Amino acid sequence: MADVLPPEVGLTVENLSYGYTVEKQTADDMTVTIQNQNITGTETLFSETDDWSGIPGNSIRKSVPVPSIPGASLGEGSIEVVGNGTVTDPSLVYSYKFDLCYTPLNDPSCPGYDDAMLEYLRGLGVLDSNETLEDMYENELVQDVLDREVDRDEEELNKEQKEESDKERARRIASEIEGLGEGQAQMLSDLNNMTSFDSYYTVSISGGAYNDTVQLDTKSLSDNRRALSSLASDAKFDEMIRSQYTEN
Amino acid sequence: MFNKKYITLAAVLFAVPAFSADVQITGTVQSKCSIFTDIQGVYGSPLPNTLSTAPEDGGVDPVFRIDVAKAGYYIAKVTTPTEFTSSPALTDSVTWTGSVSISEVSDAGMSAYETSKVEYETTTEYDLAIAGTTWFKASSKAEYGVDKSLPAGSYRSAVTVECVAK
Repeated sequence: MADVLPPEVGLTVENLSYGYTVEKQTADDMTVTIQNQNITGTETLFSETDDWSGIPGNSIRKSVPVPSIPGASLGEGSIEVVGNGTVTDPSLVYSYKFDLCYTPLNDPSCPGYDDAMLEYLRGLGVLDSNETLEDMYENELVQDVLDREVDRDEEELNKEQKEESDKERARRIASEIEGLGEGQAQMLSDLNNMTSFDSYYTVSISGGAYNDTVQLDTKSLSDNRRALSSLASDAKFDEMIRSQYTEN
Repeated sequence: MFNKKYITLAAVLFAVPAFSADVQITGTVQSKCSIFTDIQGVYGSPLPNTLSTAPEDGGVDPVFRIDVAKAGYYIAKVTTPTEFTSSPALTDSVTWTGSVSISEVSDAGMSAYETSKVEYETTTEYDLAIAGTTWFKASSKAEYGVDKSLPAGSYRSAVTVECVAK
């Protein structure tokens, strides 16, 4: 049955569902037995018989509880027919449960885990036969591993301290730069202002031709008659002005 | 005379009054026979005047199961259809045929139901003498008129299954 059930230990078969079809004459006697031997074939672990004698054949679908058979002890299974008739389309389904704590080492919460672990460690040679789990931390191998853990911790501490000193140095430099004071800042500001003159030298204005928009046509212009009278007025005005400076 | 009255009074004072009450008893009976549909039936139409659930006619036979928790208390009564529960308007008669058989059993002894079943008209009765599950398969066939085509449309019918207490 190794190819039917999973290989894990701790399996217990609890139920068997099977089905098949019987073809027979109604009057014929016939029995069909589904059974399983143990792993060595010396004992029948489970047996269920269907008696089809004197009744017509049909299809049967049945679910039968079995008495908690450990999966490791389940041997060959068989369907045995006695009498006249045939069985077709057989189907067998084993339902099992898995006991996680069948092997206590599977889970620390399993009963007997400590004892199993003790045996396991003794089997590996980590513990002597007279040592207990409490002595485990005093074992040389374990202590060696713990020491290595301590060494690693120290290395990590040194690394952290180095990182810390780097940070301190960065802070110091930053504070020195800050201590240069306002003079430094003014210098930087002046430099910035100087560079701002460049914009006046390097500015480029897009040029082009500005064409006349007023057109003057050639025409004859007549003399302004009022201008002549104005000239007379101007002469009189000059005479009056000069008369002030004339010596009598 | 005085003593007599006194005794009478005392008897009245210490007499226990008589009360009465109804104590209720309730109970619920759950059926030990259950019916479940496993496969819905489908009509095929091999001919214009025929509807049939037979697989060879393109149909599907309905399958149902009856679970009996206590042997010997129930009779299964199965009636195949004699009319459509819904269909287009029909102007002619429909000839109905049907059958019921056991398709699967959970106990070999139930196979004997088939030989001891009682059939009348379109009804089949099985004596559910063994506890367990029995699967039944029904078939139904409807033929319209005399070679008359059935109107196009959807047709429905139903198999009636009952658990009848003995």
